[in-house]
Amino acid sequence: MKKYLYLFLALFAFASCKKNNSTEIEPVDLNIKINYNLTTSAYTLPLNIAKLKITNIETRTSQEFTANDKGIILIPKLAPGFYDIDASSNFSATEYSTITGTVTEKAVTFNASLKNKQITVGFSETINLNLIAGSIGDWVIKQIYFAGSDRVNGAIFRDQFIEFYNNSDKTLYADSLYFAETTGLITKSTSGSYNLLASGQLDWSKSQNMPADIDANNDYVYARAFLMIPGTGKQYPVEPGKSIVVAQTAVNHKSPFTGVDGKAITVLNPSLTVDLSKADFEAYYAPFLSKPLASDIDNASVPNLEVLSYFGTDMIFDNPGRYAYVLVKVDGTQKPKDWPQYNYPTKAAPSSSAGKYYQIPAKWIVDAVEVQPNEATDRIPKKFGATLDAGFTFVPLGSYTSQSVIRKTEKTVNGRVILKDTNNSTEDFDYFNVANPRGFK
Amino acid sequence: MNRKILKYLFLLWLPSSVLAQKTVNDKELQQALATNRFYADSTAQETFRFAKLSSYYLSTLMPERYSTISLSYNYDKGTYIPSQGATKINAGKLSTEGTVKLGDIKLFGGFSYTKTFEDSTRFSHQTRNNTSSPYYFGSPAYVHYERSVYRFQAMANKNFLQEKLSLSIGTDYKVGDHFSTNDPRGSIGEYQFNLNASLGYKLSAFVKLGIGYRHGYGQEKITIGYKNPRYYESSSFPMYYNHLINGYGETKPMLNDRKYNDDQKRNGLDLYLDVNAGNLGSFHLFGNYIEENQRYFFANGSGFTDYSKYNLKTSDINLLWNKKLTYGIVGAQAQYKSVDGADYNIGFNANNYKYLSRNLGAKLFLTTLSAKSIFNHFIKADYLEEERIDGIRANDVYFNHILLMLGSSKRWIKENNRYLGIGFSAHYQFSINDDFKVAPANEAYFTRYVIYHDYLFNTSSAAGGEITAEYGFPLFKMMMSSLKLNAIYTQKLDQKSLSRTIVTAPGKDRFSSNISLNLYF
Repeated sequence: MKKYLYLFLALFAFASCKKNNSTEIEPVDLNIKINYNLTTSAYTLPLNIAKLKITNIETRTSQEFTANDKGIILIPKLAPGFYDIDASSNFSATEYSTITGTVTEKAVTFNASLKNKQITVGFSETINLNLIAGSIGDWVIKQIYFAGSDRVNGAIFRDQFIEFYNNSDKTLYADSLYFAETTGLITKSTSGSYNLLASGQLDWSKSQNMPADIDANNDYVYARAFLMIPGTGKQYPVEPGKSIVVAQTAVNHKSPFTGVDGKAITVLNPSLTVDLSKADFEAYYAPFLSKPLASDIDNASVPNLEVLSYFGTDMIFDNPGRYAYVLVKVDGTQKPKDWPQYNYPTKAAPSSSAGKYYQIPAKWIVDAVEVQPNEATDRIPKKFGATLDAGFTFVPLGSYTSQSVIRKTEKTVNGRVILKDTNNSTEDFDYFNVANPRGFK
Repeated sequence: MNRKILKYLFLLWLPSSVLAQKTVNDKELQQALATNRFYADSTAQETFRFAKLSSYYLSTLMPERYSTISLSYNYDKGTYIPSQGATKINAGKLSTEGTVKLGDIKLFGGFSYTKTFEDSTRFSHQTRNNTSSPYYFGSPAYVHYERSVYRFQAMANKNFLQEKLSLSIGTDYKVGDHFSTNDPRGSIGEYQFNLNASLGYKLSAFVKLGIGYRHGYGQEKITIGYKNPRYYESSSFPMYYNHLINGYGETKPMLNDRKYNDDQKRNGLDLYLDVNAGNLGSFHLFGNYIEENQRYFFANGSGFTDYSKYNLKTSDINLLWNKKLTYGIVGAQAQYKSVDGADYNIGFNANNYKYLSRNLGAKLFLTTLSAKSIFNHFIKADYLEEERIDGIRANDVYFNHILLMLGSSKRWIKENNRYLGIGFSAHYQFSINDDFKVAPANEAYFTRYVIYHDYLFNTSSAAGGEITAEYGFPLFKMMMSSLKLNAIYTQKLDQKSLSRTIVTAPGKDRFSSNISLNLYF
């Protein structure tokens, strides 16, 4: 009997031996090198304060790391896939002034980002990230309501608005403040028709008649709609911590109103939309159109924007969020209306009737926010570099959901709310479930 | 195609199962009693279960003639379950099976219909027949599943050359429909067809050798729908949106393409050895190897899109021994089964996922028979090890456990062929080794809801017992009937600690019960 028992135990032991099994695919050890993109060698900035966040686009899991003295970060056993990689270094005004000798009153943030980066099996390259300090202005884009509200129960797109905020400690004037909805490659499936950069975005340097002696891709952005707040110069003061709301149509969208065609425009569920009757400005496109949009009524008590260029039948923002927004302030030397316009950089020569888009110099941009669709699979290559916006923001629920992107509150000083502005909208923005003009988060 | 197979199987099943019931004669009751005894004898039942593994055994290990119909209801409740199990199950089953001999040909036929209602099941839009699969849909939110499964089995055997040569063929066809009634609404249609053919040859009065071939194919067709469009319009509702599991690790949102087919093909080889060792009893050794290929894809008017491939290699060795004693029968059964699964990840063009399991079991049973009573006793040990590996996520989870069982039952045979039976058994399960490698950096929904939960469940220890009661009586003087009650209770004893974000863990116990009405002809 014993020998049978031993046989059973031997079989048992054989079965309980854990086999060493491996698959053909293994995670990768990812090396990242961080540097500062400085225009001078007069000083150096410490690398070991640089933070890095790497987010798997599919699983949305993220990890955070700090660089060593040489700016190197090793991420062990990273699953191959698509990642958003964001790096930043933050300096207080005092720190920055002490190190650089450049006196500043505001904290300085350096950013770098790499979006939708594919880490393949066996990836062995070192990813270099150059931290760039963006412009931190007094004016900021505070809220963008591009998603619109429910197509059946809400106001669809007609309740859209954008809000600008005085983030400084002095009164600013909104007069001649320009803003634009900027364009680029919007639909990935049409990319074959265009000249593209390595990033997958449009290579504007290949646009017809584009001067060869400018950096058309990095020093400029291109506007689908370009609008200006009117005024005589000091007609529209905005106090510190206050904002201006620019509406597509400045009416209370929660209540019925009569359209230009004489028909009532109503919403089934007023809680899904917003009251824009107290907006500071509105867009009114009817004078340019042979058949104006019924909802584009002119509220006589709300000043109209000046329209330099437009797209569509009203200031209709792209609901999925495939465009981007810039705020522009120029000095007296500039006449934006006279800035050049260019065609899309198509591979085929553009027709004479093809649309042209204002070329806006980045140096006059005081704030820029890139938005993207909510689903990673629908996202398009980034249009802005780290000098304008190192990241992007989005509304989690997507189109027609009443959600807006809202800049986060950083702190409150003597009752004045100071909004977060690190030049990286991924970090600077949150969202409202229902857009809230002049609201804070 | 399905209808043709259904028709064919029905015709094959009809003569054995239904005709067997039609051809009852004056000896009906005696036949019914013999069938009933057959079901009362656990040794005979072990032999019968073994015989159903292949049509090869139809001529030697199955009774010449028997028929039975059973209607049963099953109720399970409790949260001591794997992550993808159901907290409550209600199931009804109608089944019938039987053998008959028509001339030189012996036939077996079986049919069953099972309707199951599963409450609170998550992360598994699956049929529950393909649980090692690397590619499937699921969501963390609980759903209620309803399943209807029809199964048709048929076997036929004919002997030649003075019964030295036996030729057998068997088919097994199953068709099922599975759907969940709340978002996310999984809908799974399936069919499986398996065929086995075997040839046996008696080398002597004591030794018989056999060889067999197996072929099968099937399909699972999965679609996920929603009543609330918000759940698929964005990935803002991770509890509800459709997650794609591809491997053994974190999922990705699959909001739009929420359908795929899993086509399966399998081929296998059987080997048989039967030895009649006289006083030492009879030995039956059966081994088979089956290789199955699964292809996950979607087809539409513009062609095929392949998502994944999965290869499963199953080796199975079964040994049955039984020996007649003066007062009954003693027997033993041993089994070794290994399953090796490996995927081919289309995205990475390489193998990413591996599934490995080994099962070793042994059971010793004894039946004593007398005019007034039948005793059944058994002792059983089962060893199971399982490992799931995901290469790109560096997940590797291994566990093993041992299940020990022992039990006894007694049937008191009363006047007029009435009887009363009661049985008890006890079980104890514990884990002896495990290995847990899961990168915390990748931790999200699947890791928290499935991997952690299953690791805790599979490495826990538990104990419980089973009680069975049966009352049998003749019906219409031509058949035997019995009413059977069965209840199993399992309580968790010990659970490992895991320093991770635990959002769900196995509960304290599980209760299962069954009531059945059985008719024997």
